[in-house]
Amino acid sequence: MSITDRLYIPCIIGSLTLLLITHSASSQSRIEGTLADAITGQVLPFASIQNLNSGYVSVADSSGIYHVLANPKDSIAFSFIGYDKLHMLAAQIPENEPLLLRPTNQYLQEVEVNALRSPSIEQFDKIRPSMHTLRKDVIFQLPSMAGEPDFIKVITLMPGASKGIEGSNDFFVRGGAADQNLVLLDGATVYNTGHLFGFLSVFNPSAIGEVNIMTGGFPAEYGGRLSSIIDIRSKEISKAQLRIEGGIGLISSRVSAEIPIIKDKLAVQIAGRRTYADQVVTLIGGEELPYYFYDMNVNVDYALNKTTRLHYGFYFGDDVLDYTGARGSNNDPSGTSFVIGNLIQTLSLEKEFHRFSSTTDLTFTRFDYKINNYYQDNSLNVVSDIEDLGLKQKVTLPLSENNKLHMGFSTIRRSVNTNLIDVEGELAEVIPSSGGDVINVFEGAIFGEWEFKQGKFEGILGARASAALVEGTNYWQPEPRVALRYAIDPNWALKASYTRMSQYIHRVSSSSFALPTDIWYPVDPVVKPQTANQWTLGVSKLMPSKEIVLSAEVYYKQLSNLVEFREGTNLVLNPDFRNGLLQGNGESYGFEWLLRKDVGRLRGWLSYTLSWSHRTFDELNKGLTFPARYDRRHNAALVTNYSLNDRWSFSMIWEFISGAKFTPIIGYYAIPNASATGADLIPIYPDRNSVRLANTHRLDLSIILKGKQKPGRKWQGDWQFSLYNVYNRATPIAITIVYDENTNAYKYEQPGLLGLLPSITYNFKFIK
Amino acid sequence: MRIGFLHIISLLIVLSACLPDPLSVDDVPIPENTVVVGSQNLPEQFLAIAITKNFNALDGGREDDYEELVSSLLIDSLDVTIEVLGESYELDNIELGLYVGTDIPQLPGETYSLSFENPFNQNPVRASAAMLPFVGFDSVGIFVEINEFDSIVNVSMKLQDPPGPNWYMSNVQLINEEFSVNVNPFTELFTDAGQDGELINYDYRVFFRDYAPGDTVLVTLANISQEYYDFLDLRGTRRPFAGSLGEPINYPANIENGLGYFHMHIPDVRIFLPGFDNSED
Repeated sequence: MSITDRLYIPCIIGSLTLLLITHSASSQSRIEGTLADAITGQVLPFASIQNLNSGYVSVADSSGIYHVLANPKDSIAFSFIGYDKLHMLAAQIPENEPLLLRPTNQYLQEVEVNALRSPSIEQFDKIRPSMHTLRKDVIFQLPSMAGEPDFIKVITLMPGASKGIEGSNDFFVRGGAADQNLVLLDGATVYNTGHLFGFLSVFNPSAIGEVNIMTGGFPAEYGGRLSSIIDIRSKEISKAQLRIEGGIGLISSRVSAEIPIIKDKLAVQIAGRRTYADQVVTLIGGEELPYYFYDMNVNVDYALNKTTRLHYGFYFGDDVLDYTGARGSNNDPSGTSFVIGNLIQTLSLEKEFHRFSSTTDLTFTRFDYKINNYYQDNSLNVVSDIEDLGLKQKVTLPLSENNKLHMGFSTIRRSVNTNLIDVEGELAEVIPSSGGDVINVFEGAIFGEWEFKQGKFEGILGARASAALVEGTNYWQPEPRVALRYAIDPNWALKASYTRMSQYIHRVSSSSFALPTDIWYPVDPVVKPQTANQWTLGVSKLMPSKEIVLSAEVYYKQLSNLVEFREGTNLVLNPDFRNGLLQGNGESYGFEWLLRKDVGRLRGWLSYTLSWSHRTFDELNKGLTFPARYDRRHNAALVTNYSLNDRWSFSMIWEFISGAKFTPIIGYYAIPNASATGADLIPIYPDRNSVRLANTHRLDLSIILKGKQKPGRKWQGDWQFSLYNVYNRATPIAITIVYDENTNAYKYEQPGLLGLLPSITYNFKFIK
Repeated sequence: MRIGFLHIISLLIVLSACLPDPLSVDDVPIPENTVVVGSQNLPEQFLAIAITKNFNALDGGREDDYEELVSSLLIDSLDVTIEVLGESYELDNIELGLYVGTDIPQLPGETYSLSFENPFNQNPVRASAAMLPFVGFDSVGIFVEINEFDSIVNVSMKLQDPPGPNWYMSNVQLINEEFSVNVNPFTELFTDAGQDGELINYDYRVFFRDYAPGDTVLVTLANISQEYYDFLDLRGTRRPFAGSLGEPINYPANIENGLGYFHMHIPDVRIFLPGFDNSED
């Protein structure tokens, strides 16, 4: 057991909240270690740790690593379902050895997330509304498309979030656009969240620990997007044991190895994933599928001493489409390649001083795509890339038991190469080349928050001032943040928040569909930053006997300077897309409801959202207000997992979403063409987004069969059988016009992309 | 073992090919019927107005019924008049939907007003357009180069630009045995910016038109209004993928109580049977 004073990032806010109910923070130290089975040596994930003197409660992570704040004379209780409870004085906890719990019998019992600090109960206790946590173990239990656990897809099952079209990794939060969600991996922005053109997320589930979803009540340290913060944290690396885990699926496999280099001080995680759909297609049909994706994560965690921790993270992933062949009677070489990917590096230093703690994050993100086509002497190359170099410094200063300050600053130096189009040969006379504009933006922000508690009343009063400097133009935005919580009694809480957010980079997409190649475009002297004011009011009810949390929230969001394309803008290979950009306003409001249970044999949640979202642009829809593309009225999800016994468990996802809005062609008219030699057919559209696609509902099922668990076994494996879209209902992506041979007439129909899709995955762990 | 594994994979892939049936659509609005106006100055008949109606997207018919569809849209028996300089001229309904005026004076710089009653709502349909000075080719020549990739029509012209800002449209239409009315011409748009009042040399190339030896090439030039220039530019006839991957738009019309475009430009039309420059043969 090692004793360090380390704070790791995702627990800072939560831990400091817990400090409110402990003794003076300055007299406590942080104790950290690993909990393991006394017989098998296997780590015990999610065990409960409680400081009986202060009331401080925490839960070990999925690697069995725990931490607790305590004075040397405090009594600490360690408990885990199926094991004898262990009591020790903090001073007696061994520093360099796992703490061993003895099973109440000789067999491993069901792994149980302790009810005291399940994510839903943590959320109940938090001051801020509109925050949810998804842990890795939950994601792995749920059915998934092609057997690939996907954090992003599960996010859309939470209240307030809805999916885009099927097969897209875009999601929409509280009426905002897809680009208004800031997805962070260990603090670094992730611009492209989808592999396989969006069907799968870029996050290797073996490398991820948990995901914190914020849709309102944003902490002042976060900014840069209007609608949500998705804070994805790498898995805590085991420093005590070698851990190898992975999964073998039908279209891809993944593996992760956690390797302690210096026990309890330095550990490395290396994780990788690659699709072999190309190989499977070749194996079965002999055809060549010129596509694959891969990604790789490397994490290094170094506890320099008891108070200092250094973490380095590296992510690299690409989707590659590469086709070469020959065309024409001369068999001239031709080819098409498309490469899109992210490169992310993060360096984080966490240091705890006598009176305060500090976190310094240095981040680098590169997102780019390259398209290359060639035939004979013609070639077309398109390049777009973004590079962010960021620095963030945050300090937390406890003033007293019920008062603390958080403050800091952040900067990003962003370089955006918007749309380089290089065309050669005859093609150059049809498609104009574009040198692309490299736009350098310097974003900065300072932030501070005062967190207090007065009896039943708690609050966080904060402010953030953000600014962007670009091409001689300066923008700055005040961003006040307020979150309040009133405990009516121990099981009822009222919550409210007000936040203002600003966004200095926009992804400009078609009003009909989004592509991975959509252009990210920063503010410039003409395109102003987007802003949003959001008010949230909620009530939470804790049912301790059932360990269920029920929450209900209403929100209103006012959006300004939103970005859309001018009507009629050509979106493909348009070097002059900037002239097509328009800015306007919007508003969204709604009601969200969540019933969540994270412990017991039956776990899961039931969520429902009723929402509206509108836009008003002077130059769109004749200046009249129109529904947003993803103005989905109802959004409900039932997510459950039932553990039948130690080996068998069943999971189900059922979701219902009102159809998205669409602007189809409804008619035509013909006028003489420009040379009066024929007719030019001109389409007629209805009011913008006035047609709603059909409602979507889909059922996914999965069964997990765990391998037999025996004492001393180091290898654990389980089979997951999933069925996606069990009753094979289309999820509409558009409205098309098709000719019906039976009636000899045209008709509208709404096609879907994916039907019933079975998959099988073998997941494994090896712990030594 | 390998065969068993392959069987499982094959079975799963077969199952995964189970695409869901498309869902029906029942709430797409039907566009309100109204009249559509198209106009064309023909050198020998002077002014022709085509009056049709719009139609529901589902009434399009199959591709081989295209001409039948267009015929079904034509509206006849309307009293269509053109007014210029206080004089009113009634147009002759020479065939379904086509109204021609042969006695209307050609008065560059004057405004022509079109009016008739909309048969769908009985309200007047009005439009007006100025006749711009005729600008014809000072000289024009074409040659076709054919390589393995494409047949490219090269157009080289000279024109004398009148003083003041002007907007030009030049069309290339290929006419061959398979000529059909739904093949739009290639439309080149340019202005006299920087060359006001000068003799303008202008060259352009027409790609991807499947020219075949023996085809006739029709080349036109017209001095058009800025509004019509903007309309054609918005239609994006010169851009690849225009329309199919663009943002939805209801194109502007200059017809009050109707759709379409009324213009009074006078085209200069030349017909060529070109020679060849088979650069890669």
